Amino acid sequence: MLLVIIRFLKGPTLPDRVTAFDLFTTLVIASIAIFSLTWENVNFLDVAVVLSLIAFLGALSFAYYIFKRKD
Amino acid sequence: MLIDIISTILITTGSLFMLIASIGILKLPDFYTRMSAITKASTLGLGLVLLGISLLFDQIGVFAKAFIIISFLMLTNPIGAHAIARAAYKQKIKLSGKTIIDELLSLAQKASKQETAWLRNKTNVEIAEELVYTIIRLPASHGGSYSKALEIAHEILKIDPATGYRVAGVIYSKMGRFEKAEKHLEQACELCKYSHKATFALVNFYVENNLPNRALNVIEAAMKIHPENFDFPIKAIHIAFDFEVSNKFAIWCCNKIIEQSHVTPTEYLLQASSFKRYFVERSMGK
Repeated sequence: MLLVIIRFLKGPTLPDRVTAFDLFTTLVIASIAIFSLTWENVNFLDVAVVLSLIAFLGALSFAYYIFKRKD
Repeated sequence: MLIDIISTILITTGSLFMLIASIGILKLPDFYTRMSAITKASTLGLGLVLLGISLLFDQIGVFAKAFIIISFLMLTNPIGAHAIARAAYKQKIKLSGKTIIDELLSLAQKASKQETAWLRNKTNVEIAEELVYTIIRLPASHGGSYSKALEIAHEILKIDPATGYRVAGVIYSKMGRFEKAEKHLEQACELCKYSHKATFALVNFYVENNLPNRALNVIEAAMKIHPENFDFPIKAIHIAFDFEVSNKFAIWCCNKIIEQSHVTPTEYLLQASSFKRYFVERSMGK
């Protein structure tokens, strides 16, 4: 996670940050899954489902924004 | 006990893959390589982690949730990666210096080189034709446009009408304007008396639009004028084979090739005889 945050801060371009963010959400989903295992609470997995959907929407809307953006 | 070991292995390998993805996003030289690294590695890593966890819980509900997350991930991750990479390429984000192949850029360079050659020598029809085909293949963001291609086609038309009509016909067929393409290509065929290139352009156009019978008619007309050309009957046989139409004409074509066995290339002769057997069997079956 730390590595991804370093890349997120370094940039150097917007698409780099978007991909870093995408990977970050994936990592968060994985950690939520592992938390649900350590606390033996199945309900946390629902959060993971929602987060995976939101990550996809975020990536797509960022892609759309980059596509339409003028230099 | 066994399940514990398996799921531990799965979770560990999954986390390892995600670690590799994180290292990759930090260390790889340019945006596109980072993109490819993290998409594949993180999808696999998360999939493995979720699979291991659902095995450990050993409940149907957890299995279902993990399955939902994994299938969403497999659907959405590649789509998102593709969208971002395409947007980044459009924004001209730099590739690393070590990249060897950039097909779009090399195609654009080819187009500009051909264009300068064409502007220097406005009588060379072949260069112009190549230029038109390159322009059609380019996307709009890199200077590909049908109207520009059409302009060049009109200039060719003044020098060499047959080639001009053929090129214009090909452009119209790419634009999806069926009637205009058909008219231009037919005119090209008539003007140069069913030459090899013009006939094949028209035939391929009909084949692309799923009209095998018309394509066969064109080939028949061309064969009347050029009985010594063996590419036409072979093409007719292939069309008849692909679309399963017109047995009689196909068998006639095969016979024609076999009759002239003293001049046909061996390869064609072999094809014709094997296709003939197929066609004859098919007509018996019907």
